[in-house]
Amino acid sequence: MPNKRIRVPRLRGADYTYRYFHQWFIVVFMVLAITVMCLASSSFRSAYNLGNLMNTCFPLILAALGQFLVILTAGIDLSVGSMLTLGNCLSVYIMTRIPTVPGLLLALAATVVCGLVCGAVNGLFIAKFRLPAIIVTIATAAVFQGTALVLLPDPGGSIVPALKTFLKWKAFGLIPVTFFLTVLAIVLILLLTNRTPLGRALRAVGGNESAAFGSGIKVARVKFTAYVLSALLAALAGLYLSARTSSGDPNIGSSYTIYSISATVVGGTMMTGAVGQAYGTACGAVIIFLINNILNMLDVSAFYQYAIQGAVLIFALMVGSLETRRERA
Amino acid sequence: MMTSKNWLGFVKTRFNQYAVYLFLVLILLLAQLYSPTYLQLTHMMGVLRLASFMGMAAIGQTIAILSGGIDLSIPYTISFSYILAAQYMAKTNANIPQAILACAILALLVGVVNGAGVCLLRIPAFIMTLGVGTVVRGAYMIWTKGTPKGYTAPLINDIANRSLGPVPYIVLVWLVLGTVAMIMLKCTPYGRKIYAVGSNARAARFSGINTRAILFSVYILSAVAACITGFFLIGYTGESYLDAGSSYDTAVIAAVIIGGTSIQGGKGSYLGSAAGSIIMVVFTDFLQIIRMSAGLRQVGQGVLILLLIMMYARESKVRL
Repeated sequence: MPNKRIRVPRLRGADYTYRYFHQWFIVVFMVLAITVMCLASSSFRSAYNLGNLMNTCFPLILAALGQFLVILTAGIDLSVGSMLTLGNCLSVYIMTRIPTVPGLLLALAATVVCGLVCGAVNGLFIAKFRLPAIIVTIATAAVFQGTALVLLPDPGGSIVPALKTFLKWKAFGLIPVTFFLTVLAIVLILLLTNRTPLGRALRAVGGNESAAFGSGIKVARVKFTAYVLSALLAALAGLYLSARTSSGDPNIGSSYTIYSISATVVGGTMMTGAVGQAYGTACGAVIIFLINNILNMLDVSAFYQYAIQGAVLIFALMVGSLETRRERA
Repeated sequence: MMTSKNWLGFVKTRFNQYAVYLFLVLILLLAQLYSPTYLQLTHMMGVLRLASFMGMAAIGQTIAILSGGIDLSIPYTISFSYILAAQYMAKTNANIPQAILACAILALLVGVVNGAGVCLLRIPAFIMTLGVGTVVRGAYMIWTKGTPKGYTAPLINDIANRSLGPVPYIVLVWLVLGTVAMIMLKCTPYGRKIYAVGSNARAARFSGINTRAILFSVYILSAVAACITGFFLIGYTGESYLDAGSSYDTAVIAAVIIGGTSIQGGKGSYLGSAAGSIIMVVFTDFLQIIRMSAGLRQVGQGVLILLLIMMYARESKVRL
């Protein structure tokens, strides 16, 4: 039986420009910033630094894409950082004990399952029991972080070398494998949010939950899926961090919660839900680490990074809020 | 009012408000069963001393949550005022006014920025306060370069550690602040307005309440409470450490929720939060007595919040 699909009228002309201005602006801004930096600094434009930037951004892009899906439903996932830590600690816990390829596969499977289960816990409380997302994810963040501490009380452990080899591979000795993985992730999330019924449902729930419910969308199921995907992506980001640092660290994810929200907001996604694109979020993530990268190159002490990242978030929130105000007026 | 017929309904609707006292008795009995010296006066006073810091921080969080928001910058504000106070006191009583002034300026700054974001720009409270919290953390990192110096003044040290008879001075301070908070919330027009804004901001605005001014003041009060907590906390620890406030992030929110304050706003009381603070201290204490690792304690705290919101917050079930 053919699937009944609702045609969403496409935005044209000025409406289109207006709606997608922020997203395109952020892409152009990122490209410009990278170009200017490449022209200005020879150490920045080295293939090593650019590849390094890509590798640094990759886990945040994954985590932020998950956060993006949740924010599209007008929710919030404050457990992203802890989930990432748990993914990191769990995979290292397993790989330290079974340092072979089967151990790697087991770690991969365990991380995926752990992400799905933890996301399901979030989803269960938020979507099924209809409890406020903020407080549920604050509580589950404590649970995930605590579990990570139980698995790995101190930083350390080791990983299976095969994982490192795979993630260190570069196409033509130049483009890191994370680049392809990033493109894959962005394309998948873009297709999911813009071309599938689930994606449309995500936006509908974020735009007006009651209306979405009234028009027959299974609101609980849609929200549940968003939280599960968010936790899954965060867990995978944690696994990648294990490979990158060759060890586990129970504090590794602490800044990722705020970074993932920043990336999403900087990327033009509205905290009120429904509006936003995956590529904007990815660019937001790159911009966040670009700022850190520039600060490092300017020899600014790492202590400034907290303050500047917070300021970037507040600034992006201000811009977003002023934009919605114009729309409302 | 309650009639004898619908007492069950009364119990149901008021359960959230009064369950906390039941919990308090239960958890104390449980602790007493496990370690027979638990309910001794000296030990209880130690528990109260710890609870007073939690309780002072909970004043701000209670008001913020009652107004329908949340203040996630509290732990960072506590840390900063704690470091500020230590730095300015530098072991001398004569420097206390300067320390108070510094903390007051900090409270005003944090409160105004939070308030401006939440009421003028209408940014959701949790994300605004989270962002401001990050900036505050960055600010004290920059200021101390990662290694805070400074030491408490003897007077503040005495307040935090000495006792008047069996009662520590800090508990008296808490008693005064808590009473002021309770009177302000329950008996003044201002307090009633906070409840009104929290339960339905639009209705409150239409009935002539300046909701923006109320919200603005709520975040300033919350920052003030956090700064007072940090100010006295330095007396307790003596030397200053980085991120001293970080143990007050999830725990304070848990204390407020245990106390029966609805996370949706508009319902609850400070007395409940005060009892909730004591419960949180006893809970952590108890987990330490049975030698749970730090990780498991954190898991316990998270699970506790989840269970409680399951019990409490189901009132928000209606859709449409």
